[in-house]
Amino acid sequence: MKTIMIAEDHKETADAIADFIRFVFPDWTLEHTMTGKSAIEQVLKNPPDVMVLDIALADEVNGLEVIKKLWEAGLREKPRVIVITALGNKAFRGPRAGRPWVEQLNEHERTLVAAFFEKPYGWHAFLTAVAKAAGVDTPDKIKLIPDNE
Amino acid sequence: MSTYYLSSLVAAVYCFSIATFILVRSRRPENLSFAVLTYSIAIWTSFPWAIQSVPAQAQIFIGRLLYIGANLVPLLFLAFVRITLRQSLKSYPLVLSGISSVLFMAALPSRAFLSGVRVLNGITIPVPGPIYLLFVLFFAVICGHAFILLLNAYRTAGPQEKNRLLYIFIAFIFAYLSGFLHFAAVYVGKEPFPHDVLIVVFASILAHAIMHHQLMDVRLAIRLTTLHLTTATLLATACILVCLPLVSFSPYMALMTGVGGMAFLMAFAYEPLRRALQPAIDRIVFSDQFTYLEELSQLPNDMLEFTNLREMQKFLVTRLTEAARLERVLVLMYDPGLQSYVETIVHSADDRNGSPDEPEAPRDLSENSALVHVLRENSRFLMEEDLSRIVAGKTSALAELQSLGGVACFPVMKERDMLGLVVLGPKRSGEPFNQQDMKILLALRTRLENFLGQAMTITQEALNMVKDSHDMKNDVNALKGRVTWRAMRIAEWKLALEKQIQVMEQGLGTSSPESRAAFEALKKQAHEWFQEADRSRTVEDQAIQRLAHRLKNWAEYGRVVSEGFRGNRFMEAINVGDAAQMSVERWKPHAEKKNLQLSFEAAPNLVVWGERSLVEQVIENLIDNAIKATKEGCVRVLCRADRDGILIEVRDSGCGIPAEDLPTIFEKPFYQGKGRETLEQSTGVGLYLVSQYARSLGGRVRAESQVGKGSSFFVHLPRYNQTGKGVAA
Repeated sequence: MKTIMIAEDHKETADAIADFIRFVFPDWTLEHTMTGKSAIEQVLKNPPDVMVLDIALADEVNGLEVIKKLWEAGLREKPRVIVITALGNKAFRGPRAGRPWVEQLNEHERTLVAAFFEKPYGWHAFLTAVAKAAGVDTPDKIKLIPDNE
Repeated sequence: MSTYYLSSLVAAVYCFSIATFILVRSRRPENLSFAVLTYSIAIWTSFPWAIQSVPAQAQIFIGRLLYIGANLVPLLFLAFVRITLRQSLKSYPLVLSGISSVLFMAALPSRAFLSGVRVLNGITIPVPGPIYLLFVLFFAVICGHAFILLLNAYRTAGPQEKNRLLYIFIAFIFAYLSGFLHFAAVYVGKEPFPHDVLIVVFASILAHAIMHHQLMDVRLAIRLTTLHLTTATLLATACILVCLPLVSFSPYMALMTGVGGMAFLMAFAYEPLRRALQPAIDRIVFSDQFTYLEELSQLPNDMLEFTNLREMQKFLVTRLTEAARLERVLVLMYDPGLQSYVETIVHSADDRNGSPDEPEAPRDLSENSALVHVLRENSRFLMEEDLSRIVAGKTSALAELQSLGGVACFPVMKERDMLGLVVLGPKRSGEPFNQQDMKILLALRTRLENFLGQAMTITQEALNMVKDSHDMKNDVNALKGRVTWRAMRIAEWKLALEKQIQVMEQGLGTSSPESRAAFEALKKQAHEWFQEADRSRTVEDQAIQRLAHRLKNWAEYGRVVSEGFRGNRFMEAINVGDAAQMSVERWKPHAEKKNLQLSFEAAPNLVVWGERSLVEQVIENLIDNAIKATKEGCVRVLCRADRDGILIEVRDSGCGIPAEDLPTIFEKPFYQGKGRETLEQSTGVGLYLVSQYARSLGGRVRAESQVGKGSSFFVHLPRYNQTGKGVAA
């Protein structure tokens, strides 16, 4: 039994992720937040196994800053973070603007990141990455997803 | 007083006042040259009113003098247009006006040009002689030439430049119309319309353009005029020296030789001589004060013509450092994301290579800092002593300026917004700034404000585009999730149902044939439903893919523009042949899927300067487009050297584009109405982006097509030579 947190300010996307998780991993505990601040707060209180993290969140704390804060707070093993964004692959702010988003993090912070997905992503690959990040076998139900993405 | 004289008076008074208004408003060089031009027009237009009561003989004399002057007017307009379009003056209009001046000068005392005056309905109108028609023709030729120049420039201009050109265009239509109405009046013998009123419109439009677009620079005009006059004088002196000895022999022969020799020299020796004289005149007459102005005037005024904002800034800042002999210059620009003014470029006199490619930690100033506050309040050039008194908050503006290594600074404003600030280091000689330095600094400041204002607007639009596409990508992602979710549930039901059917089939062993038939029908029905669900999912998937592709294109375009502004783009020398080959390799599978032959051919050593991803996107968007438009046959990619650069051609044997659509395909997102099904998965923005990317690489695009036979898309890119960055073709 694993826990997963979805930090995503786009409601439809968050709902879709939640539906998929409930269907593919029925026994997992699911948490949801829309802001960077509450994401940091909740994760520090009770670190989930997997965290799906959008870069653009509802408040001024963005996903990359959330990761930096979690690393500073001493989190190492958990959570495994899956970064998602609709901002494209290349960063337009940060110390290395123009380079991919993940490269805006330093080499230590980057170890928290399990995968990066640019929206719109393929859900087969996304759920496989979630399973891998949680350290569980890929469930058979994922095979039901038509793999044409 | 008749309306004719009244219009003359109104136009003159108007021109006098608007010239004075512009001059009083500010002494910028643009304003000064506008004032000079408009004052002379005012004197001109006042003549009919001023001389209405002098005797007829005197009127003819003044009229003839005015026409000799008028001979130069179209030429002046042409020169103005050429300088505004940043083109060099050609020698043929000079030759024409030289010859016509001689002709009219010779005809001045005779009745061949103006044979007299007549008075009709209280208006005095000159009566044309036989040579008068020549003058009208000359006027028409020069006017036509100026219009063709303007039209050509307008066709290839970007949106910002178009704005400027439109003003000149409309203003000149009024000016020339006024001229032609005058000719009409002379031939018809009555004044059909008080044409001087048109001059009011002309002056108003130009005044507006001068205030908002800084159209011309009088110092440059003076410099060019001195140069042209010296060249022409030298040539004329040579001619006179040659034909003087002939005068005693035969005056006619001397005249013929003189005029013929002058025409010959004007046509062939003028340009080389002018080019040879230019550096000498710059050095001796202007002590190199204005050389930077010409370089400035060569700058395109359209942001999109710049491959990179950083390049433009680097150019301006280098000129700034060298023209005023400063130790260093630092430019800070407002970054809305960080809400502070961030260093975009620094240039110092010792550091010949300019700034390093990746500055370690760019300096910045908060939006609320004392220096920013002071500059926003004063919006003018401020030196250390101006700042020493002002302390805001904990830090003083002076301390902030010194910590940035400056002794003076000025803001870059757009209306009331402060886009950035420029920090100037001390002069290399250690002296304080003098009057000449201030002039140079102000000229460069105006340029900088103009550019950065445009850049900011474009970047804001680009950022909005990125933001919109971000929101839409989120929506598309959720939509894709829903479609996938449904497909997954259907797959689950299908599995469960298939299991159920197996169980039922086993249980059906001994049932009646009717039940068996009903069961088979049900099974068939279920099978059809699943097939239908599958089909509709494929359609939805394709629609989402199309949408995603389109969004990606928009976001990429927004990124290119906004990163160009921030100077994040990575420019390099790119071999077009290699880039095209890689793109072709990437699209081979798509072509093979449709049984199309995708071939590739390239000449060696085709190098352009730019961002690699842009060159690839130009080629790939065209290949994508060609593959989509073609059902059978081939798509060919050809790269070759062209007269003025590099030519990439993508040719297909597809459905073609109707002739009436050809001119607009690059303009806006385009759907081909009639053959939409042939252009499957058209994203509509591909061609628009191709043209935008080609422009930002300094190139241009065009297309040829025949419906049913295929299309060819051509991309011209400037060739990169090692000495310069071939921005312009």
